[in-house]
Amino acid sequence: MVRDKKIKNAFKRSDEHRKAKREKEQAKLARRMEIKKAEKNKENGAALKAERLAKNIPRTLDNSRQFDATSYLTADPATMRDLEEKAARASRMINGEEPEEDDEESDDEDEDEDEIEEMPEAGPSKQRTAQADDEEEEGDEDEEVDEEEQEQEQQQEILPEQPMPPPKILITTSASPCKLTYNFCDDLKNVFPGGEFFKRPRGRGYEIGRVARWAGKRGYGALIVVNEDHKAPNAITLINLPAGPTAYFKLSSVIPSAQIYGHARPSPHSPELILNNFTTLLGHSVGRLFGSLFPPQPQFRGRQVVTLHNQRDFLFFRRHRYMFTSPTSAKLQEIGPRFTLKLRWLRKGLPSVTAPDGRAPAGENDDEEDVDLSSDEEGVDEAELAEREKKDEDEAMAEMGMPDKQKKQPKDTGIKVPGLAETGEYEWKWKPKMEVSRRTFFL
Amino acid sequence: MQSDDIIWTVINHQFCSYKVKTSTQNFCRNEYNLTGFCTRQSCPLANSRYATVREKDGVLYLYMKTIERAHTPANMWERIKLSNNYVKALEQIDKELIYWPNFITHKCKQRITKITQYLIKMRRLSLTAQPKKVGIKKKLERREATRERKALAAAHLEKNIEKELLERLRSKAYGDQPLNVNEDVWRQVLDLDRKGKEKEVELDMEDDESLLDSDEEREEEEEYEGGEREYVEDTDDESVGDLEDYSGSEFDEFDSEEEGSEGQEFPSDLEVSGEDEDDEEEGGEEQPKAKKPPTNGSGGLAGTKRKQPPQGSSTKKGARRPKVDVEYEMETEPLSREMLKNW
Repeated sequence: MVRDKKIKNAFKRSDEHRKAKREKEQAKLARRMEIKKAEKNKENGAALKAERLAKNIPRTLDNSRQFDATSYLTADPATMRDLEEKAARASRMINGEEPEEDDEESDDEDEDEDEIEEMPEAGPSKQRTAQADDEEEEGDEDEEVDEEEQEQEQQQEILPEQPMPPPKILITTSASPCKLTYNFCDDLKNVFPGGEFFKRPRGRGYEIGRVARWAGKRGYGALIVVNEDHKAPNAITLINLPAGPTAYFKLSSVIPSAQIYGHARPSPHSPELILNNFTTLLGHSVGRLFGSLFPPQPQFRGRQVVTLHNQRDFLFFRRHRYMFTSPTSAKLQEIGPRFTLKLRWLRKGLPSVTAPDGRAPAGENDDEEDVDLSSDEEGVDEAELAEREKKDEDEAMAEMGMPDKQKKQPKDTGIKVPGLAETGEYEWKWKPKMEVSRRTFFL
Repeated sequence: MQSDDIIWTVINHQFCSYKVKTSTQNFCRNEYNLTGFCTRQSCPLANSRYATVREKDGVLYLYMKTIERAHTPANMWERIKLSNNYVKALEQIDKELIYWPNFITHKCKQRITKITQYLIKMRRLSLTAQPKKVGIKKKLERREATRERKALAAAHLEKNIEKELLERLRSKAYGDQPLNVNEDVWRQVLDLDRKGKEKEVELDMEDDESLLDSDEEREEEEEYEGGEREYVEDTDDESVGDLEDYSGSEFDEFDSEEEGSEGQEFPSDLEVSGEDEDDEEEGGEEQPKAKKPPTNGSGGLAGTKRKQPPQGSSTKKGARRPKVDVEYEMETEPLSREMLKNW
């Protein structure tokens, strides 16, 4: 047969092309009209439509996500579970099929617990982590962390518990911030029921590592440092105290409540928490980090909900007032600030305090936070600083009702703060070359 | 033969590669220059006897040049390390540059002072934690901004939050007597639950029975439900009675809900009302009551579509308010024939 030859006459060729195109489009339109007519049919229209929708699922980035298999933190949770099962089966085979299933499962649980609890080691809500491990072990189909919330809430409803005070959170900024940052910090203070804001002075003695350890000893649950650049807040360092992990997020699209049209006024009730779409282990740890900032038992009377929704590694923070208008609809009115976070790195331990020339500060002891220097000029300042710190500690002790002698020993609260120079390694760090593949997400 | 004057005339009037001319000053870029200006006294090229103080890696050195070595450029500058102690360094200068012109010794001492001062400042600064500076990468910033926008669009935040809250409500996560739900709504939830359980029980019972019987019963049930269930297009007719309670934006949300509820798992509002009627309970009364905003002090809730100020609400409310058409008649005298003629 003769192949379709190209028509040499340009006019004729374009005419034919136009005609063919129109015919094709008409045919497509006719097809679609038929389908529409068939679906309007009362008998089985809905079924047909459902079938069609089920068959044609559009491919989205979230559908076709590829997990980053380089580390267990960001790996696909399904494959992790498979590996666990395989390991369990293998160990069962090796152990000669004795009825040791409980042990195996507990071993796996322990492994899992180690892997997970390593990260947010210390933090006010240890109940949460235990709950989470159980949930994961059961192999939940749901990939949302809020299941744990429900269970925990139910448990707490059943047991008559005394209401725990909300975890104290210290909010501060980088040195010399501008007005926008101050406003943002004020908003943040309202978001967290235990939030307290302090200005951060420039100079030695106020490095993040020092502030974190000081706050840890004072019983704060977390430290939030809002970093500022070009007259606007651009990053948040979230440090879980006393010895918890440090997370650094890039902050973007900050919209204060005043700019939201029709925003609601916040009330001092502790909010409910919704942590959406955290799938990988890294995602879970970040979600729990965030969850530990809020009191574990929300006050439902306040009808406030704080959402941290993870979509393609962007964490969207929202705060709403809700109302159930019917069993099938709820209405939301937005309160408070709206911002987006993106995790840049996650580190174990607290940030270290080392002089930039690499010298570690002498005195790993908790009380001695002075940096020992050789030069004479700094000696005077050091002594003053040390005196000031000791005075502060004395005052604090007096307030807490403890005698000065016990200063040297660890406090009765049992808060153990790591030494000044101890720095944790990076659990996970974002690098620009990770960004190239559009379908790989880490949280 | 070294002649400073000739060198100076050439340098000053013709060309010197170290000279930097500004509107007010002439600077000298030569590293050995004592003051930094291009003047006759401080030009290292035009003075065969010259001295400077320079610092390298925090150590001060005195450089001296004499006419005896003018013909050996490689060994022209003699370098003497100065003591770290400021006072001792000054004494060293005095000793080395004894009998030298005052200008040079004075300027050297001034340089020593300035250098030690800035070295101290540098050391003190390096001890404080300086913020780490990271470059802005435009392409990365742009890429991340776009991806954030797309992710936000894909997130359907409010829908997801609403879904999550409703799931918590229906799964009884709030306990038996929740504080955050209206009584009527909670009763509806419980009723739905009960009905769901009843249906499950019935279905189970059907499975146990024989196929023939179950077929008949199923047909009956289907007919029964089909008879009651009607798909109505909009809720406009239904909610006309309760107009005063709504703000315009709430109304928007209802419309969007009706469209969206078809794809959701739980039954739409219409089915709920239908079933209520089946059960011969308060029937339609439940619905409007539930839709009224509760008096918990959270009045004026805006709906989901609340980005713009409520211009829409005023127009919508106007459309729904009872309208009275008023015609104004102007009564005039009927035109007589004479008036017509004289128009």
